[in-house]
Amino acid sequence: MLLRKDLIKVGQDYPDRETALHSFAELFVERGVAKPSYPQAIVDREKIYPTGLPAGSFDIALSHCDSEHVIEPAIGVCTLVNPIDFQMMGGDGTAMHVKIIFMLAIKDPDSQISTLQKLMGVLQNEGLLEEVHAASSPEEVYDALKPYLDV
Amino acid sequence: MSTRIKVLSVCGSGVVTSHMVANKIVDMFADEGYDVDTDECNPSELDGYLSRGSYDFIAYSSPIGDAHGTPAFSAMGLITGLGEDEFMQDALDSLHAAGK
Repeated sequence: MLLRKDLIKVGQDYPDRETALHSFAELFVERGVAKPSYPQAIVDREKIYPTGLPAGSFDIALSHCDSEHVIEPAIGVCTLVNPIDFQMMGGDGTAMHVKIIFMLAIKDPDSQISTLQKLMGVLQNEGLLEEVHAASSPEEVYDALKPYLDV
Repeated sequence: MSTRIKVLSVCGSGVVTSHMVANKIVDMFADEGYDVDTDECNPSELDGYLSRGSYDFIAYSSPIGDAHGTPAFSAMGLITGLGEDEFMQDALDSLHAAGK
């Protein structure tokens, strides 16, 4: 299981995208799953290759970066009180109003592919995403997502 | 007897999203009777991949440059689930046009 309870934050409020990504990515460094270079790599990559995605009534982001900044594979989730502007993946500059950030630390995609496939299903499950966003604790987020991400 | 095709999946890092897309394509096209081989790369690696191999089509979730005549389709619909059918139809049309 790549989703970790200690990489879930709920009800966060950040002034902008860069602050949000950097602060949340710092947690991955603190937990020892990513190298100190990870937060900046996440911020830089989001600028070049945006990861915002439409997901029904609100948008989500699927932030990640090159595996060289990753120590061990993990998935974190950060829910936001106020939506933050991202751009849509695919590069046409469409503005996204992100309310959940899924942050991935991926080491070797081939060995984590079944989880990535399941995550893709989660991103398309509007009801589940609403449940995640409404959750008031990391435990609630974890319990909501776990059945959908278990491999 | 399934038809073998090769698909190149392109995303920003050439790692995460392209793998998700590639695996989805393998599953979706298996249902249509295709046996799909996939490679994944990032946009800057595209030219190299296209010069080394021949692909039936490209699925991209990051903007790509010149595809050198290889049919290329946005894979955004596969990631969001909005537009999967259009992606399938466009890709199938191009495969059929190529006699596959």
